[in-house]
Amino acid sequence: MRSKRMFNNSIHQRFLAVALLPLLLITCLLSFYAINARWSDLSHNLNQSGEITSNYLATISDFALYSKNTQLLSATAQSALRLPDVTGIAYLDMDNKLFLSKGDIPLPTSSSADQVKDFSIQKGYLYYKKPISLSGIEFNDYQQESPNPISNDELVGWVIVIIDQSSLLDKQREIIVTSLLLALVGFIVATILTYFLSLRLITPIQRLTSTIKHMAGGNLNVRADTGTQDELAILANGINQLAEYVTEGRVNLEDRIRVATYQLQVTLADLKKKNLELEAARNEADTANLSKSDFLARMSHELRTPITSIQGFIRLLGAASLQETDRHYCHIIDQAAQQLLVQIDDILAFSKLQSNTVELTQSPIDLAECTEQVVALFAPQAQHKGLDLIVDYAPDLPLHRIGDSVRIQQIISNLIANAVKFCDEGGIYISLTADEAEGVIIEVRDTGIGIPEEAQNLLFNAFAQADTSISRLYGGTGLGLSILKNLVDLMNGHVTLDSAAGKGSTFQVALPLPLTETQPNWNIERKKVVLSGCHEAITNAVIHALERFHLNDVFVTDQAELLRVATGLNRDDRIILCLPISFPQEVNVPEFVLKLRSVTPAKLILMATQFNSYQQFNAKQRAELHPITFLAIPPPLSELQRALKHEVPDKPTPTPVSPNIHLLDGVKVLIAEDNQFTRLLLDTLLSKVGAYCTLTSNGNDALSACQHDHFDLLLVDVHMPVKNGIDTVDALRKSNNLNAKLPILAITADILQHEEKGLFKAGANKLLIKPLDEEELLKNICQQLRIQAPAESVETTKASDDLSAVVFRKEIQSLLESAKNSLESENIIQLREAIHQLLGIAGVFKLNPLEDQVKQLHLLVKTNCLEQVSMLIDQIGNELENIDI
Amino acid sequence: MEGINYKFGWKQAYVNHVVRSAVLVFMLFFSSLSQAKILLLLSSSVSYYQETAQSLQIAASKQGIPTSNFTVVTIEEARRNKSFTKTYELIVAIGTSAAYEALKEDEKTPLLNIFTPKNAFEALDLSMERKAQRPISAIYLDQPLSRLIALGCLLKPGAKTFGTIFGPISQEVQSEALALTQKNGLHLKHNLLSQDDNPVAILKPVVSESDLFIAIPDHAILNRAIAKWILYLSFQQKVPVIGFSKAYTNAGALASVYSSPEGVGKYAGELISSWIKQGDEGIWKPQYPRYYTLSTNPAVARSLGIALPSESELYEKFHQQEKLKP
Repeated sequence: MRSKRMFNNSIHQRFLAVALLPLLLITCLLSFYAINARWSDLSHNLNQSGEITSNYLATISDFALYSKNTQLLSATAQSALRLPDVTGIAYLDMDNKLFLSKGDIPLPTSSSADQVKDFSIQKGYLYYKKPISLSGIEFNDYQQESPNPISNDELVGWVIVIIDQSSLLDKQREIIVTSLLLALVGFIVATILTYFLSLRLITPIQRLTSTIKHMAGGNLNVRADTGTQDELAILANGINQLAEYVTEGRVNLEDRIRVATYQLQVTLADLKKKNLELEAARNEADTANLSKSDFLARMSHELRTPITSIQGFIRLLGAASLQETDRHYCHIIDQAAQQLLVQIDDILAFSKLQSNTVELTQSPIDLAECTEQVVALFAPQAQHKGLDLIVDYAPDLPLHRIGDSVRIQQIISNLIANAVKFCDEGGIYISLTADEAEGVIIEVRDTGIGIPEEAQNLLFNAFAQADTSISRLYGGTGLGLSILKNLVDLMNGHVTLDSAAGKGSTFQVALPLPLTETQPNWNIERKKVVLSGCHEAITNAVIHALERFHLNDVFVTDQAELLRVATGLNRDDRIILCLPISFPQEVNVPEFVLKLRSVTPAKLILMATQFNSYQQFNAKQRAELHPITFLAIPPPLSELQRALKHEVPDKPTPTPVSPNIHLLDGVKVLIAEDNQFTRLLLDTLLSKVGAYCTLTSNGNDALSACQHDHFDLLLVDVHMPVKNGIDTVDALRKSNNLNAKLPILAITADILQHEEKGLFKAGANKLLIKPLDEEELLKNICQQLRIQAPAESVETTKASDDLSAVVFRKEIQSLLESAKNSLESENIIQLREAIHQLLGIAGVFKLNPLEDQVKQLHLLVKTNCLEQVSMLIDQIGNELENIDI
Repeated sequence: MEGINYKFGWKQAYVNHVVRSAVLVFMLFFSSLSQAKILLLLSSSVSYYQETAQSLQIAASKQGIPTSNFTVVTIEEARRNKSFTKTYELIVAIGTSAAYEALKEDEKTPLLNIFTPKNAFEALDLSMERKAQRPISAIYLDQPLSRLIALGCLLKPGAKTFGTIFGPISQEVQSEALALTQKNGLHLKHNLLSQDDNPVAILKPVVSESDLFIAIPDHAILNRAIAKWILYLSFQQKVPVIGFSKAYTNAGALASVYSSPEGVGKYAGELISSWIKQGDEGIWKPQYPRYYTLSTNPAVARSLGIALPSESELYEKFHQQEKLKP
């Protein structure tokens, strides 16, 4: 840590460390090397001295030793002893016995001399032992002729040279001390030199560093010293130049910032001005959009009103005793008016989609309920054309989803409407299957005229139809599929078409609809089910439904075998007998069913279209057939489940009764309508078809009534005093009383777009526009209550017929009076309310002049043209006097 | 100090050597082709044997015996070429080994053994049976003892006592030595050295009491060490040594008289020519070579304070003394 700090301290210290560390290392290495080398040299020299001396003595001593000449040997030894480090000489004879020794140190004893080896070290002395051999000279000229029998190198003895090592140790010690001293002195001198030399190098760098620190501190006026001529001077010059650049750059930058700030202020001022202009433009656009919405609503009303009049009068004419031809013409006019209404609805829906004003709601929905409500609307039309209308739910398809039920129904409605329109024989087969990732595929297949391949690409374009002749033949705006495509796109789905001319069409719509947290339990206690009389499509749909109910013990048989199979069934078993349109005409259905009942106690579930249904059975026969349940084709899933269960009441299910006076038998309807006349009108109409009506004049009263009684339906006016229809619906849906979930039909004379959105957001199920079409009202009520709606026009006695013209006049006059008073008191809100109520009841008697004048009055009030209102009120009053009701 | 050849200067000797080599190669080549009459059997292929053979052939050719009459082979070549299956008038064995080989391989052809020490020739198995079968003779490698004593007298004229030691082999010339020294008016200090004696102890009194030491070759006792110690002791006592080889002169002897290959070969060639041409039977008497070579060591002479004559003068004086011999 400390050394790390030292290296981080300053460049001077680091420089010294960098310079001295290698120097220290090299000094150590060199010292080590020098000591080692000198040691080796000493040892080598000593060893060499011993070797040379011993070899030399061995060479020259042969004669003396051989001749035992001790004098000569002593002289030789003495001369050798004068050599440095040689402390002793010993001669051994051939038997390794000591013959002669010279020197001051103890020599090997005669007994141990032979133990001395060629080289040995004993007690600090080196012993070199060499053999002494006879040597001679060459004296023969011709070797081959002069044999020499005596060995030339005969051993005569040994010489031992003793070297004292003590001097070697002393010299080694001296070498170490000398070398270390030299190294130390050298290192100290080098350190001092390095220090002073580094000062010369480091000082300018430190001055440069100090200058840069000042510059970093913001003092750009300080300059580096450029006194030297080396690289540091270049560096100092560079730093000075850089400082000048930075100073200049800072000045420039400040100037530019000043300019940019000024420009930014100018731009902000411009932006503020443009924002104000944009705000004004947006307000204008909003106003224009509001006007457009008003215009659309107004146009809707303006178009619907005359058409309603046309329909009303045509039906009046149709009810009159006309000739068949005239009646036929009336029917055609009525159909044309109806088509015109549908087309107006299409155009309005398309307009909304195009202006992106459609917003999807995301709420829990029941796919089966959505589908079946739409199918119920088209069932009479399909049956009228003799078409099968089958709905098949995949057994594994979870039906409870999150989505916009209104738009989904609009999609299904468009598909089915299209299929029904272009199909004259065969059927329409609707299937719902699960798609990947919580998606649903809605497939509508028809056996109609099909669509040529070349026309398929244009089919989803607005106002496009496959063939211009189609519009002539089948009519329509050509907006249906375009609306469908727009809705599917809006819901992030996609639509595909598989079709060929003459081979029908199959539309597939895939929609991402997330699952709700819980799914309904469709399980039914295990029962045996026999299915008979159905053709393949119905059979498949029913079997899929049974699979959903986990009823797998299903036996399918034909009509001929049914009696035999039914014999073995017991009371817990179920027989589903289909009476489709294609049911054999030669079979007497009541007779066959009664016979079936006679052979089995099993519960009968009779599925039929309106044309061949249970209406063929009289009351006595129905009693005999008990237990039996009548279901329409296609049967709603929930009803089929109820019919298959035990707890299903063993009485005929509610059916589209005929006569219609029993259509709403026992249905409890709560009516919230501030206008007394309208209240009376609704009460009269619904009471006539068997409903029990509770009348309230505002939202609060309606909510109070909901606290005490249970109702099957709520009819609520949108514009009411105290609490309007939207708030009433919202409060009811958010309440926790027993009527919180009851179906709600809203009614209004006119409605703005945002009001409509708010109404549906609050939880209304349907919106009906005044003047009320009685047939439409009943159809919608049936639809909401899941009652089979009548296929043809409801032949009810007009409610208006039962209303007193006197009451009507009185109500009109009362409203006109109220309007006049409000005008005089300049109470515009009250004036508008009175005119709104006038608008609601003006069409009841289909009195066009009166209705037109009321509409004109409504427009004047709405547009604040109050100058003419008073006069128009007077005109309406006069008109009322003159008209004949 | 180089030894000096009796007849040839060294330049001339070199030229002659080259010429003789060429002639010998020529003769060897053709002698193998023609019917040779004299086999020159070399103990080995060492130079001094070959020089002896060359010298012999040159000397013979000068006497009218063509070199084609000689077949020169070594022992190895003779065995390989089966030379002993052929018929020769004479086999000249050059060296002791060649003599043994000739005796072993051939029993009838006359045999002349040259370039062999006297005691080596005498050690051959020369039974009467063998001598009866064919004539056998030799020309020794040794120089006669008289020449050694003569050289000593020449180089140290004032000497009164000559010293020497005899070994088991050289002991046979002891009486001859005594006679020769006595004849020259000298006293011979001598001692007998056996293999068990301390040579220094035997040598030292002889050397110390002599004016000049004569080294007599005896391979039984005279080894390199004793040869050295003779020189060492004589140097200590300032006594000059007369040796029997050029090598001994080089080692420290004052002077030597010895036989050279050229001298032995030449003498053998002359004897053979004389025997073949003139029927001179003198060849069949074993004898020392007629020719000799002298060598001196001037450094030793300077150390001992002895004045050496020049080469030519030395040869001249020595030759004169030889002529004076009976």
